[in-house]
Amino acid sequence: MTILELSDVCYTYDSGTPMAHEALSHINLKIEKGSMTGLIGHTGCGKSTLLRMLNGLTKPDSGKILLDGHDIWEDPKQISAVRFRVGLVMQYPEYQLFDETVRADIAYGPRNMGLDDAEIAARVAEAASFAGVDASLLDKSPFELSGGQKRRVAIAGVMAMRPEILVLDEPAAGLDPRGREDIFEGLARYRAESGATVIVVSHSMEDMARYCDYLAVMNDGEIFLRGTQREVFGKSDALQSIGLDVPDITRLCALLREGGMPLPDDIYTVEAATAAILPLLGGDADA
Amino acid sequence: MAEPFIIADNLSYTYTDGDGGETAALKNVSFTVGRGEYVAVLGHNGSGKSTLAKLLNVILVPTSGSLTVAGKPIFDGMSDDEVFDVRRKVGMVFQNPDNQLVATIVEEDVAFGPENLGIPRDEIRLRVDDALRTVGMYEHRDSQPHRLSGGQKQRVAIAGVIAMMPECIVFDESTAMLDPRGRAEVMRTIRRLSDDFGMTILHITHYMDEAVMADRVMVINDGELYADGTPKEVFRDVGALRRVGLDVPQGRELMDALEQNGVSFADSPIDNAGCAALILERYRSRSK
Repeated sequence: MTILELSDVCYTYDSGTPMAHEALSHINLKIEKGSMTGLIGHTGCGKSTLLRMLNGLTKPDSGKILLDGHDIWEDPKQISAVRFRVGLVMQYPEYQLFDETVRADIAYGPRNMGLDDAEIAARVAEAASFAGVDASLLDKSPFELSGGQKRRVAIAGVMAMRPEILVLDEPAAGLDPRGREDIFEGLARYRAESGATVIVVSHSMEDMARYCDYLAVMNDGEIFLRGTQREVFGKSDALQSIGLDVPDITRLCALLREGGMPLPDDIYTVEAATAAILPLLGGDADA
Repeated sequence: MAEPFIIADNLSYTYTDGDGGETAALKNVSFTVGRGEYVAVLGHNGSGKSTLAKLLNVILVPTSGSLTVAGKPIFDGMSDDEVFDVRRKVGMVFQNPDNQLVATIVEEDVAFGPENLGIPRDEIRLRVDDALRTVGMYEHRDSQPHRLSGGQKQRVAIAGVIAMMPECIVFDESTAMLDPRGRAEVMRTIRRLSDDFGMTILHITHYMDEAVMADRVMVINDGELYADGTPKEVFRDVGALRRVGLDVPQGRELMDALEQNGVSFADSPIDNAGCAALILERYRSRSK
């Protein structure tokens, strides 16, 4: 079932001036309810503009954003309700932390929703757990935390609003491998336990292969490829033509196939590669 | 080894916070980097690797042990001239591309460093043009820095450092905020500085795919030197790197998983072609 749909969405920055720049050109995209969708593309391809459309921070010049089949701009006065349903975590969200304690920072969203104190406390505890913010950090100042911890606090602040759709713009940018894994595992848990839909931007094809069901690739303001992992990673030539690539392990498996090993052509993770290759080498595939 | 350029001998640095609490960021680290070496310093956030960068540029001084750069010891109480001399020899490129450019035109930005060194005008002109060509930004010399991409800004920052003609450049997570295209641009530039100019390079990073491009990898964990060797040597022990929160190339990860399941290999390559060759050899010998 589709929860969110972009229908022929166009957007031009500085429209009507010599600086006019078309950021989004006739975007059509459907997001499946409960899915984790990865959005991929180079800096400047329009990804961030598209994300800002999803919760009504930017209004399309033309076309529609349909949430559960309803145009979110049908009644512009109701747009703030959309912002509670579609939570947006921007790039480097840790720069937006401001409150005296981690607890107060995470509670800011739910408080603005007009929830009572008991409900706010429950939401803070739940979101902190999903985002991997240890309870011992809740009474500290956000500014005492490490970069990775701050990032998780910022994500918890959006999760605490329990958005049906959680949208994150490069949530793992600049983090080390463990920090990156913590973020993605937290998103996977949030989605599994809350049933929410997640849309995430990342440059790591390996992370996309590991966590996302659907992928959408943007290029020059357009949707270049979309579909399941197979539908997108199966087109490695097309990806390479715009300077992107398939996961590293997929390239290695392609070399093995060229060398005569009968491997499937839809291997995108090391786990899948190990399972497929072991029996061919006489290893113990069950181990 | 070539003539030593950096010598750390039991080098330690401990941060002291306002309440007198102490955090040891580097603990008794000893190593030598030869002139012209290209070394990646790999470690997760908080491992102490950036503290090392700050020591090399005399932003910090050792709390114990010794650090010698280009024959000069780094210590508390160095004269301004001595500090200046080290900073002239060791250039730094930092993480955030937006925090390093000061001028409104690219070539003026690159000229900023040499101007401060009191270099004659004609010489500055030559250095700026050379530096911009080296990083592939000569065509953009008249551009405004804020109109450039992240990778382009970092390359301008690198040109600014090159124009001061240092003997060594320390890249302190200079690719962390860039997209893959920008990272590739900066990595090509670094490789070129090493191959074509013999520059001594320390590249501090948490990306293993960047570390494998260096000639040598030093892994810093919890303030200690955890591993030191060629990329192939360092990435051999997948479990050891995983334990300290670091990644290994996926080919290496695959071969390690196969070995865990009873398929052994004679070598542990880190590139896809090397891994594919060994796996195919196994496959063919079995199907005969």
